[in-house]
Amino acid sequence: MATVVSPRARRYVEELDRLWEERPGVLGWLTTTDHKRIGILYFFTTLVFFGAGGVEALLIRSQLIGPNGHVLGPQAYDEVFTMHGITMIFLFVIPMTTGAFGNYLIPLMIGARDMAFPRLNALSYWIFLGSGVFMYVSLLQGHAPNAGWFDYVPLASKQFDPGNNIDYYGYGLIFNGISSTIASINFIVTIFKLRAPGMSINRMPLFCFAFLAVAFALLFALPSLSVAALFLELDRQLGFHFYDAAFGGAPLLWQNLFWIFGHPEVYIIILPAFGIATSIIPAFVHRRMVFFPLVALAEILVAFLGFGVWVHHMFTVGFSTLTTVYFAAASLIIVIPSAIQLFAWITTIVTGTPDFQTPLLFIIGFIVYFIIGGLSGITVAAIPFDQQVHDSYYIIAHFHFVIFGAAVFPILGGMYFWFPKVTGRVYHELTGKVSFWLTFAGTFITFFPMHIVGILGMPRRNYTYPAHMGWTLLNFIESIGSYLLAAGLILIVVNLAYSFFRGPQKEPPFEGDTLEWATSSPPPPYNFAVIPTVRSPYPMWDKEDRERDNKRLEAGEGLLNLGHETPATTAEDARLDEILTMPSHSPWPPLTALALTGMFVMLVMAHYWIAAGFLALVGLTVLGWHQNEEQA
Amino acid sequence: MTRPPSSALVWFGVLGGAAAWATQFVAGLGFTFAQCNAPPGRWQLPVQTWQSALAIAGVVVGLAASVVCVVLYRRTRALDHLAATERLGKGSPPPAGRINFLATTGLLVNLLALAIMIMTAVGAPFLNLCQQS
Amino acid sequence: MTDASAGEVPRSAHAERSRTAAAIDRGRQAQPSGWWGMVLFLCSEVTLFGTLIGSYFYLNFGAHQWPPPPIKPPEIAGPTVATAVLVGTVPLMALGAAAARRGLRWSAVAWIAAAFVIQILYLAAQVLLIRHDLRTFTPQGNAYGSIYFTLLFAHHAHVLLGLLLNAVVLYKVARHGLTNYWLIGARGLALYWYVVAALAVAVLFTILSPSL
Repeated sequence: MATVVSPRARRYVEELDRLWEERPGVLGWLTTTDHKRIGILYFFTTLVFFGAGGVEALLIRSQLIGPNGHVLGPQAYDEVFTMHGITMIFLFVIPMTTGAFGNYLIPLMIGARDMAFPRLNALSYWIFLGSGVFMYVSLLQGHAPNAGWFDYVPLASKQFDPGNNIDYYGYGLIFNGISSTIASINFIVTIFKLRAPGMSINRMPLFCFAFLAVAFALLFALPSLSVAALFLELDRQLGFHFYDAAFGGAPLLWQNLFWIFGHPEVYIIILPAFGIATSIIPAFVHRRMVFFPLVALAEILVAFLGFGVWVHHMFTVGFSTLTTVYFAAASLIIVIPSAIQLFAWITTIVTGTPDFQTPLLFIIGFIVYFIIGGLSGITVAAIPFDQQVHDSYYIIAHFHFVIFGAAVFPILGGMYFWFPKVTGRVYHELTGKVSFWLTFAGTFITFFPMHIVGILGMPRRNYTYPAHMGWTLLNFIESIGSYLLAAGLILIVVNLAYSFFRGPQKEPPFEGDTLEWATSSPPPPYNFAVIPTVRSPYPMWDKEDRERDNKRLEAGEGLLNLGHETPATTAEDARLDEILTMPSHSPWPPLTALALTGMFVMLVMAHYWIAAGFLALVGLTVLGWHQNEEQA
Repeated sequence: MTRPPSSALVWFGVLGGAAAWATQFVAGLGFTFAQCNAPPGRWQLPVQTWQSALAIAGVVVGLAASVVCVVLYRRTRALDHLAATERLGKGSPPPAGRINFLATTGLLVNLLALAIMIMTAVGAPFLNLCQQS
Repeated sequence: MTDASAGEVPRSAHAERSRTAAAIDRGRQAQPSGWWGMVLFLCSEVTLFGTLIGSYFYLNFGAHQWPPPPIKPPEIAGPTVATAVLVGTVPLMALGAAAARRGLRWSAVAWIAAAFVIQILYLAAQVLLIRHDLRTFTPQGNAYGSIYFTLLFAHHAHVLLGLLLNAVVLYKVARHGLTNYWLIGARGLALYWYVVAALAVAVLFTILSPSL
């Protein structure tokens, strides 16, 4: 609900409006450091990549709609399914959840005015954009990565993949990883330092716990991928022998390094969904989350334990039992935190008074898919079963249930939930419900039959299949399902786009329990006129505290209006420590990102000295960045 | 609270079991990779002995951390029905509320870490060295 | 901000002079954002080196002999002395950061500059040692060479980055003064070198493991 502003308070608000005014026009967007604008940039960019990944998916399903398909030849098919995986994971899900939702909402939820490092925030966006364009240039050139998103050697080695397809992959992932590493540092410092006074750890919203877990997981998982990609490129470009068995290298080293990143990555994908679910559920069932401390812990624990299970992606490579027992134990125990969360969500819904509006429908869809996907996950944790279904469509079914059904549904629900807050307009509820049912049905029809066709022996990553295998009807059904799913997703986009331009401009029809709902819709650039009083994880349900904030605004207290200011507090108990001055517009983040893009382009073209020149340029832009001594 | 416990003690309670598991995991894996990846005859490492030893050490640390959590939980629970408000999801004031919250979470972390450590090592003396699963 | 419930809390960005910056640093109850940023960046770098070192041992374990003949196990003396010299700059950096925290601008510059000179000499010596190694085996020869030189290159790239950071911090503190920003910068720089020195020791033990 908007902060109601009396005439006396209005002059304080106008002063803040003046101090925090965003530069207009394209230049304003290019040089912005405001977390909300950066979130919106991430949102639209990731939606474009989602569309690209979706087109790739539809091409795959159209190729497989019948046996001996002719939509894509084998080389093109390899590039399409590889780019589908890379796009959906690195260019859609991660940047959408961390970059769009995380950037926009975290400072608002903790009662801050921006992220801890606003310019670094902008940099992470521009680097992400550069890395995405870099990867897609490969597709336009006809040299897209073509060895699967996990890119196993020796198939990905220079001997068997001599073009520069894999180099776009190797360099591209290192490039993209820089963006995510910077973003995760920013999230952690923001959550540690910028929480409103009084928001001790036990009073932090569950959404923030989820994103803290995601940020730590990204920070510790990405180096493994970067090292794996570095070794790959050294082997390919400079003739090193990390993965080359003939010269003492180990092909399995790639698999180990990749999955040491890859398994935490799947928790990185799902955890923001947990965070969004824990925001939407209390809002629509009008009840606090049961077992709050255990749910908060479960979110962190899933990320932590996720580092100890990677070999379960490698049960067919021939490890000894003495080795696999480590991973089997951790893989079984990691079910427990997920189960705690499921139990908490379901109990909260059942014991509350649910109002089944579109956002809650998507969360219920998420719970359904998470349960089914989780069950198929338990089956593949059993080594003998996994050894039968490895590399079959059963695995594709499992991970699409958890990645699409369980990670993307909350994103779609979150888009509906926060749409009124971000835009100040209301979407069309009936269309929203229809879009949910189309998407839910489409997801089920597309991915459920894959369990069956996988057990019937259909291998993954094959560009076609012969008739008379017993797979034809199921593939046909899956492809029809995918068109239905596409229709549902398009309806969501159409609904929100139409509502953005023509939807009624009024207060949101529902309200969450966290602080972003204390601001106007959309929030002003400074978020909060007065730094909020916080005494629980559900600040919007503490009406006396919100009243107190209004009174403080009247009295001109806690305005922090001597500049672009926000308070810094202690990490555990959020005691007020100092007032920080935040930077505003800066050209250096996009310039640094541009120089870095130049470096990677030169690397993929094997112009190493010019690449070194671009690296020096990056150094110069960073020096320029430090001309103005902002807050540290 | 008259004298809040030290931050180090609280964080040992929360993270001790997890750190013990991480140590057992990295060291134990190191031993099995060293023995089972190496060509036959390169060396003979006492893998199973180390697996058992690491598990025992880890369990001791995990139990110690659990005891710390129980003690901190009981100390903070006695103040102003803190545990009740925490269960209701209403955050109680720091530092007692924060410590109670961390002690609750720490207890679960330690229990799960103990379970993983024991499950990992319980079969170690009976498994054939380096037999493929 | 004068809030009756919070008391006087400093506006740290306004601290342009050493004494004010030092007073704010003393009065903080928690570490500043820039310090946390450096700590988290270093967590990422430590993980990077953990992965590189893990890869070294993974390749080691799979080999019949390590290093594979005819490469001889590395000599101990030269690398150990060089690493000891680098570790010896850690107290100098610590003194530099402590001086900065006390608002002693020129003292901080002196300590950091002293460390800087020794670190440059260290890097130069290491480049010579590595060139000597390259005469006997190369990264393109086998996996041992690949991981050996990659590990060393990664470490020294971090040393080079540290030298660039030294230069920037020295210039800024000498030219513009010990503001709040550069006080925190000096603290972050010292943290960076502590970790690089610790990683140097880890890399040393890894590289020398066949000879130990």
